[in-house]
Amino acid sequence: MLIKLAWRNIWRNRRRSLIVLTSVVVGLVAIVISDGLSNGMIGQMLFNQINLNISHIQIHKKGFNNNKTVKNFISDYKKVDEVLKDDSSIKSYSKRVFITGILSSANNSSGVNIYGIDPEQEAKVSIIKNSMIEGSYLTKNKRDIIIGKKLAEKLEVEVGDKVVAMANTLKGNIGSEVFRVVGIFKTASSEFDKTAIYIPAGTEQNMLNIGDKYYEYAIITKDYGKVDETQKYLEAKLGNSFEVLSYKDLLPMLIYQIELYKETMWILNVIIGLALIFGIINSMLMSVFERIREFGVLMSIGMKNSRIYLMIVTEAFIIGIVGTIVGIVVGLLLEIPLAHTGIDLSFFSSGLEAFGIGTVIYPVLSIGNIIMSSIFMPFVAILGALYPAYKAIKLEPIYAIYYV
Amino acid sequence: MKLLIKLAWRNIWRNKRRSLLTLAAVTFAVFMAIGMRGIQLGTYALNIKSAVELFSGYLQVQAKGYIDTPKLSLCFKEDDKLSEALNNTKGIDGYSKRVYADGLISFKENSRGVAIFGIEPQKEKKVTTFVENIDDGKFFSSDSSNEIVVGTQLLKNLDAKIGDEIVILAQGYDGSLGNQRYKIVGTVRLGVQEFNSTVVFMGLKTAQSLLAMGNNINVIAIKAKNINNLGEIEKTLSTKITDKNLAVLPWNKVNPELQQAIQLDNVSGILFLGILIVIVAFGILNTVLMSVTERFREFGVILSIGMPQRKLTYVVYLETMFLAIIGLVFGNILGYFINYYLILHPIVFGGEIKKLYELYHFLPELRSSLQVSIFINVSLSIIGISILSCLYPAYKVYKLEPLKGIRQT
Repeated sequence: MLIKLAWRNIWRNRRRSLIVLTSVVVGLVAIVISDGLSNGMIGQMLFNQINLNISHIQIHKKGFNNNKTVKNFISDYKKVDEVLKDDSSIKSYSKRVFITGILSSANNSSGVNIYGIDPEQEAKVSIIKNSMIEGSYLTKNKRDIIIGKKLAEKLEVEVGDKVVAMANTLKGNIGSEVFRVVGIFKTASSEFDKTAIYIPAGTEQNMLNIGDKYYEYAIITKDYGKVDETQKYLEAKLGNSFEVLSYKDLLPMLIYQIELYKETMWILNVIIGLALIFGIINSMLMSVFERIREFGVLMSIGMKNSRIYLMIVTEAFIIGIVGTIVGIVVGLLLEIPLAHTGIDLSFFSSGLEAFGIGTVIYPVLSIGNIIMSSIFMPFVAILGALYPAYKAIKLEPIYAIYYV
Repeated sequence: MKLLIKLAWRNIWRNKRRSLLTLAAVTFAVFMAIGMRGIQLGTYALNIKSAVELFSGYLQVQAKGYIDTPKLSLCFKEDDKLSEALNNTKGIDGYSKRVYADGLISFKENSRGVAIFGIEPQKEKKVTTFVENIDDGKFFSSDSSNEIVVGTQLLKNLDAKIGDEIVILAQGYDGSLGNQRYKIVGTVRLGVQEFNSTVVFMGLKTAQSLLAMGNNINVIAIKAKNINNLGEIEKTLSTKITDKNLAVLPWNKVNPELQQAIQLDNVSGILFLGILIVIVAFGILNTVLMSVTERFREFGVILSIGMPQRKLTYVVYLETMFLAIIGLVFGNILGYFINYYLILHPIVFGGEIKKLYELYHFLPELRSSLQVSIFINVSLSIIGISILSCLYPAYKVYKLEPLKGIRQT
């Protein structure tokens, strides 16, 4: 009965209720959209990093991640191969030789991260094969190299040109090899395009005098939500001489950023809620004072104060709920098409690329944040109604009836 | 007009509670907006100043095209004409010459790709502050000594210590490979982690001889007296430098990442303010509309006794403006205090947040600003939005027929 009464009361002054409702809707739409955008941005950063070269899980010799030197290779890689083959939660993996070094062309030189890979294996763990914009991906040829667009610009080389890679060998002298650029890639991260180069694993092993050894396993699991379990399993199987790192260990700042972001969402909600609450208090007060006479009548015929109080709070609550639902629906309607087409922010393009996001943002909804807002906003509406409702029940019935 | 103002003023205080609530909403919005803009702009200015003074300089002279493809061969000499232009341009505090190259540093079995900077330590002190950011050891004092300074993290990665001798390999100006032995005499720590693990400083002449580039340099970094008239300095300098192959670049072209990070953050900040202001606008619309419809009867009477409709809408507008302006005054005062407080006591982050800020090339510090434009822009947008949200209620009053108004209950 109370709810029905409250519902009817709301629609007695349609214009006023609609205006309050609209302000709640605007707040919610704003929250949904900004949430989707930031979520999409952070998600893309993480996704791009994982797909570029981080992968889900990496295995190294213990200590390699903190000190990526030539002597920290995995000596018993056959053991790792066997363990990985037995694990059904693993989708694919790639063995990599890794060293930092220098790449020179006739015109210029630049510090680089040299990845020695098996082209077929690597294509199964990273998007590098699909990021080629000129020439082709690595083939069987031992002297092939692929480099990023930014690096190619810096070195002023094109597909077909010769470059020289140099790095410290296991013996302590400088090893160098001549390569021919067969392809150029462009990824979402300009930093990666500036520093990463790929050559066949065998060539790099020769160059570094390390025999058939590798430095890094990059693993993609079947279910990315179960990475922690796979990590624990591998750690137990491989023992102490290896380090098994998940993307969470390898990208701690990004993971932390995602955590921090959840807290900023709270702040956003509170500020918008505060801005809304003034409007809610005001319109509830007005509607209460307009109806003082009516309340007087209700009281005189025996309606309890607590019921009147509850009725007014319910009115605000309904406005809050309806506004929230409409706001979320409108926000979603605006966002769903955007999630497919993406929002092109190429105006900031180089800024976004420098942070490895890419220039087109695809908004992603986080259900958690939407649930949070959809609980929080009606709660704000209730808060806004407390004072007006208190004003209504403080009246003397007789005085209220005579109130003009 | 005087009468109308008086009328409007009295009308506001007839329903004190409602007016105060609207006032509070406006004040809150103005306060939030000024506080947030203050923190944003203050933090940007702080970051720009520190980045510019730490390393890049306010302006740089480079060979044309060097900014897009930084390579050794895009270099130039400081001839008499150039030094005259630099010395005689108003607003320039000092300048220093630099050479940039990529190389490979090796110590025992460790090697790393590094960024080599050939600098003049004595002159650099007058332009930037990184020479003073010494973490351990000392900076070499001569341009031609055999000593180098490396990033703190780089020293750790190489497993070396101060006093150790290392070998640097780099491709020279003529394409040949240069290979030299140097002694580490100190380490520097600069804000950005990535920099700390790749940077090597050596004397300008030392670098020129390693790279076989004679007297050539890649960059002249310039310190300006004031960051606000860089455009002017850039212009004067560009006309004085007659060499067609040289370009004068302000910091935001030299360091576009910082500029873009700022733009990105700035746009999200402005969007958020927009949302806040729109919500407040709805609040204003609601109160004005309510207070107007409540008084239709009264308005009907006023109209019947001969008040022109136009003037009545003025009254409605004046009421809104009063509320907006009083709210603005309070909001501006509160905003001024919070910004002033945050300038004196900036928020300094530690721990994880600090690392996160460094990742984005930002200082882990929030500082505010008392830039006049913040107060003006916020105030103007609030006034603008009040005028807008008043349109509909005013239109209602304008269309009101006296008799209908009187009969309204």
